[in-house]
Amino acid sequence: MNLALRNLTKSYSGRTVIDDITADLDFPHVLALLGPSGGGKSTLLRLIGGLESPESGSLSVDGTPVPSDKKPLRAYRSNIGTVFQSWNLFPHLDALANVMLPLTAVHGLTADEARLRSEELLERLHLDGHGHKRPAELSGGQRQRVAIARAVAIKPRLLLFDEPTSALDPEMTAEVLDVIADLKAEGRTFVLVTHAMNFARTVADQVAFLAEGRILEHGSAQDFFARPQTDSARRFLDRVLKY
Amino acid sequence: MSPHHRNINRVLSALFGAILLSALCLALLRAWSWQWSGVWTYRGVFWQGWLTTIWISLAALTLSVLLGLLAALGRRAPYPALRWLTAGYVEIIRGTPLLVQLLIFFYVAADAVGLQNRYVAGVLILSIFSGAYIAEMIRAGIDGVGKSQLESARAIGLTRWQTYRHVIFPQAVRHVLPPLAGQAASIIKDSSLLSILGIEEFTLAAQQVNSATYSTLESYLPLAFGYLALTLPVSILARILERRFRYES
Repeated sequence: MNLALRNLTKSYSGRTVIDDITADLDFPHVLALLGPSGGGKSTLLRLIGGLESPESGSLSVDGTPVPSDKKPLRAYRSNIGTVFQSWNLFPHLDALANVMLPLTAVHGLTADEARLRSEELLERLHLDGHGHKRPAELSGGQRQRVAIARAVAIKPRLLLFDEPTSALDPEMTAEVLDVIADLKAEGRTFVLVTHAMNFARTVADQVAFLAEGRILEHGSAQDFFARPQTDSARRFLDRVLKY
Repeated sequence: MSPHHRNINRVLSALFGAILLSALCLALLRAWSWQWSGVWTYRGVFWQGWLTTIWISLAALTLSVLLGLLAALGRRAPYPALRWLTAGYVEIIRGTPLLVQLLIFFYVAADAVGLQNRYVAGVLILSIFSGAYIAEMIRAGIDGVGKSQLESARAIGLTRWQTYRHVIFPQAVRHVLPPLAGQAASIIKDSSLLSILGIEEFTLAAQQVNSATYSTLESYLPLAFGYLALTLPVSILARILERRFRYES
């Protein structure tokens, strides 16, 4: 997959969060966005997902620019699976209904087709038997796996993970990371923002290091972790890999 | 407190309450020379008035929920003119007494439009009044649905209407039903003001009985109980709904 950023700028109420970034990010499967908090990783992820529109500049995925008009943008978004830190499941629907909703409402599947696919996925993610439970009745790790099932069910061209394990305890973190590693093994393409540094090291093909709204360096994950080029990156890795 | 003690506590409290209430009733009965016979002959008037209050309240409730829904959606519409219009409606109506609205709308507006039927005018005015309050309840219910939910809906690719239908309304309903039930009780009580327009609902009926029999307390006490008979079940329903719809989100 190729992500082409050209003079990409995004600000929130006067504060520049993405500062005129121009870069070509190429990766076979997994791109990790790393960096200190407030550096712009989540914002960049949301721009890639079409959840925000840039002030200026452009962003293209595999040569096609991310649309800016309402309808095409919505169609673009519906083909991207997103998993955010705070579950974002609908609390009034049970797990199965949560996974089925995008399939029936947006992708035109019949209820039976949607149910079949959703149940299959929930089983694969070790959630069989939990489909009828509401999010409030599930553990954090289970909720996040339902969110992953919902993102994967639509057969997206790209998956986006925004700190999927930051709100989970270590055991649940492991179970969710296992699932993400499986997704990579299946050959899916995704962009991952995470603070789980060792996981990023294992699973990422390419890394982009963001700080203060700019991509300070990007390249193969191996190179980044072994030989970070910039001082910022070096300092960041020292701090984060300390414990 | 153990369950055993709690039960004894409850029984004793109930007994005490019953004794107090009966003592009060006895005192009242002794203090006033009750003349129930006159009022009893007019029981038909009371009954008709009570029924009229019921159907006026039902009609006003239905209409005001519709109005409130439209106003709440209008407040969130992507068109500024619509937003201002509905905000103006809500603020003006909520800021003025129902009595004033009844006087203005009936004696001025209805006259101008040529609306002669008092009952229709009364129900309409009551609905417009109540609709503004319900609009705020519905808006609060909609706003109460977390922003992250709306973002999730966007991320999936739901349209505006799909988001309302699948995400917002099912959850908003849970927040809106309890205060809405309270508003139903308000409508029942506020309908008593329609008596000033000469609409023959429950309050006017009691006033008519009073002027016929000169038995003031005997005319107005049944009035109070009659309204209680309507509002108490509604309050109980509101409390049941509140308990049922409380859950983590």
